[in-house]
Amino acid sequence: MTRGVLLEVAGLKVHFPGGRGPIRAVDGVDFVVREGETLGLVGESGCGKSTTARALVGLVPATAGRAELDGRSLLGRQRKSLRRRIQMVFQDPYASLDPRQTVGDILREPLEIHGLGDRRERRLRTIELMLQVGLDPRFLNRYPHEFSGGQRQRIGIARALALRPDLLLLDEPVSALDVSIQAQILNLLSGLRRELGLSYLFIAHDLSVVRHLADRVAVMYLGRIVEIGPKAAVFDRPRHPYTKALLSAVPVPDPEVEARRERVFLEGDPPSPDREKKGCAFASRCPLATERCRREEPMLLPRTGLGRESRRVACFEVVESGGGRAG
Amino acid sequence: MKKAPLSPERSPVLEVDGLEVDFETGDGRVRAVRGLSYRLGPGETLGVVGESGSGKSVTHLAMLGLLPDTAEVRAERLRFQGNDLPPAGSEALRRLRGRGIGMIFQDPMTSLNPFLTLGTQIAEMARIHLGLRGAALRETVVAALAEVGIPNPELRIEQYPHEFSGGMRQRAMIAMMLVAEPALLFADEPTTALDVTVQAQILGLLASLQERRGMSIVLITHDLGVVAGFAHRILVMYAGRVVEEAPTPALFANPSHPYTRGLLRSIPRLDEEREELEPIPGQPPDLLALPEGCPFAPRCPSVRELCLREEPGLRSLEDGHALACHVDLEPFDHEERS
Repeated sequence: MTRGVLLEVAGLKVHFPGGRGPIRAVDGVDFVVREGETLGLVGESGCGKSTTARALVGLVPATAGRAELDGRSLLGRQRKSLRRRIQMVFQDPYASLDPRQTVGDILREPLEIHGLGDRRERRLRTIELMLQVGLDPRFLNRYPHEFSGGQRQRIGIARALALRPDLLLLDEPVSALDVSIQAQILNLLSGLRRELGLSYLFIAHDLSVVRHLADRVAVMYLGRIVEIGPKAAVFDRPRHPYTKALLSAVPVPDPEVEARRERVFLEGDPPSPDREKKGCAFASRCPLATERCRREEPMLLPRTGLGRESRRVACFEVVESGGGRAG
Repeated sequence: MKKAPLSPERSPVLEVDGLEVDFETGDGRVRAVRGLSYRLGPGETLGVVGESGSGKSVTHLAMLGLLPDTAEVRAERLRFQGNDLPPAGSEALRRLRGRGIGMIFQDPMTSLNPFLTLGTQIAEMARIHLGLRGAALRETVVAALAEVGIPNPELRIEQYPHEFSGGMRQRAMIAMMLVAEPALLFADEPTTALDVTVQAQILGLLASLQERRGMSIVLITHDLGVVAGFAHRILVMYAGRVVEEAPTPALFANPSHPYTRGLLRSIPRLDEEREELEPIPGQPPDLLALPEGCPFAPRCPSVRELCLREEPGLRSLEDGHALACHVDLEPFDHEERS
């Protein structure tokens, strides 16, 4: 029943030098992605969700921690054979495709770099990729500007699939698209995952989209995961006070639901990631915060007495006193 | 949902009839808005919903005379508080912008001058529109910042835009709009660039300001969720036209245009599990070469032969519901969605 662990991340930190001290963009995150699973990584701007993904493909250097794909380290210098098993799809299909390359060039490039196949096989592979993402292979000689935003995102996905990866890191893959086009891309992603047995790390700020695509969800706040667990548990019975506030702020396209809902308004803004590190990062805005929260940092733990529950929460009030149970 | 305000038919704040906006481009004439009409009542919030290129922003920029010279704007009637809107480029329209009709936009950073303190920029509005000077001016600016929930306003007026977070900048823009005490606010995607918890703060702020001041609001957005909890009435735009108009509860209870239904079926919801989303096939039409007949016909699951020949006009259904579609669909099946 339990599927094998494909990606394991432990204690991952990405710090950048800053004027007032290090900027702790990612500050110790732990999670796994199992085979065939989608883990949704959610949080607001600056929480470190994109930086986490970028560290996994070596686009930014990790400061500390471990990240392993099938037990082989992704951090530091990656071997090509490992690198091709993990690929990334970016948010902006206008900025992530070279405007001077044809779609054929774009899809062929990874095959050439990794020395896969001869000319003919590469050509066949590009045709296959076009068909897989729902594009007409006759368009292989066209340039990115000749496509719509949704079609360009299909090209970005085809490029990520070229090397037959096991894991895709999807960084806000639909947030630049119009709503009527988002569903097309989301359905494409669900279909590809099923057909190709892929695993996804799906990063998005739109929680409704994550709910649709993910199996499990991790909620990040200021460089840390504050709650992680199966999708239904996190979305229907959130425990961490930040998860509750975040979910209650998402508008639902239904006036009756909107009228009934109770909003948890958060005061102010998140603290700066170069703040002096002390206590829980959410304490300054948290309705449950105590003296201890301002002093000590809570670990990501299962709730007391519920050792088998697969959800973990980083909050003293929730984990130890069973607080946050209501709602 | 808030309580419905006075009927817009009685003493409307804004009347728009037959608004057309074309752009002359190197590739030909872009028909951005075609035959748009609506009424807005005092204290009413109208949600204008559409995707990129639907004409939702251009409509409102046109009324304010904020479009470039390549735009050609025509209308049978454009009236604000019972008087014709002054022509684009006129001194009278310039005075009306801010004083009569306030505006806030998506990205507060590009709407603010990075070299001037917030206090200076807000004071400019109060000086120009209200003629305030000296201590009264300063008092007004500080009070406006306090009203929009910016802590320590006396200190904040000395700071520059980059010293504010995105949410605080949008609050500052709202304060700037408020000092001129407009009767009407055009809010164009005011929360799209903001995080969701900040979006909730800003929408809550706008709702409470409206209640206190009785302002009318036009909220322009691509997000049906945002208008569901905020607007009294909704216009759905597609390819430069209104395709459906209804009071908010009616629009969601029985969306009647195939495009509106398509949007509602294609977006995932936070409070629902769905196996497959039902996307709208294809893409919005090219505004340079609109198809004959209904512009939604090429993507429409209910398309008839008539739709390809003749563009449907907006016809009234019951209870303030209006629809631009030749087809009478069965009532909306909410179960089909889950």
